[in-house]
Amino acid sequence: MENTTFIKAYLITFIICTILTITLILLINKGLKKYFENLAQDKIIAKFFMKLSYLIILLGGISASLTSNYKTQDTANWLTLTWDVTDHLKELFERLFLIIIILSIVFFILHLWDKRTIK
Amino acid sequence: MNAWSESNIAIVYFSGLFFALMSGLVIVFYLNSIKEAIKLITIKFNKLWNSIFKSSIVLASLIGALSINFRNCEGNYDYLLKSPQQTVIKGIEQVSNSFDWLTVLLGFWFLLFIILRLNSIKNIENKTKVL
Repeated sequence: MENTTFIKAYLITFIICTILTITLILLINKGLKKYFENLAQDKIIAKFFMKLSYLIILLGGISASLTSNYKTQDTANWLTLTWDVTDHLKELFERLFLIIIILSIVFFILHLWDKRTIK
Repeated sequence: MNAWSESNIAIVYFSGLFFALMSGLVIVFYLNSIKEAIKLITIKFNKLWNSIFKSSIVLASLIGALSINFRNCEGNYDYLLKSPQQTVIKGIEQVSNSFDWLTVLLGFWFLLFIILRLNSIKNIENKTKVL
């Protein structure tokens, strides 16, 4: 296979991964806004926390999208390239899953702590 | 692809460093409007918090990129001269690692600022109760 095929596959997968990350951010955007406005009790601070959480998800997603291990040897064919692409996507899903789980645990603990402090 | 020379590897290496540094600076500019938020969160020493926060972002982006070693276990870089693909992958790895460091760092600051904010809310409520 030609080198350009690998580069094209890598770039297309990278773009798909970035789009998926941005879609995830858009999906949780409304919920995050309400949560932070409630937690911080101030719009400016809520906006700051939202920006931080966007950056955490976006950087984590792009970082996973950049990591790749495409096998470009002579033995590589369309099947190995497909596996490489799925590995690339798997890396992104694993990273996003980890970030979302950690953020959910943090939000849960903060929610409980916030209830106690308000009492 | 043909074999590369040392200068090609150096270009990839420094491009990776430059891109990582630029991404750190872009994040600082994106968060430029946070002075007011940090002032409200920290109440005291807000300038100190602000400067530490911003400088740590730039430092993390650089540390992440610098921690990628272009030499192999034996300390050689010959394998990069033979394979331009691996050199490019190393450059991409620099940027990716820099983003990893930034993600962890921003997560840390996120947690720290939220705890500070909740504490300040608690203090304000305690003060109003006393009054």
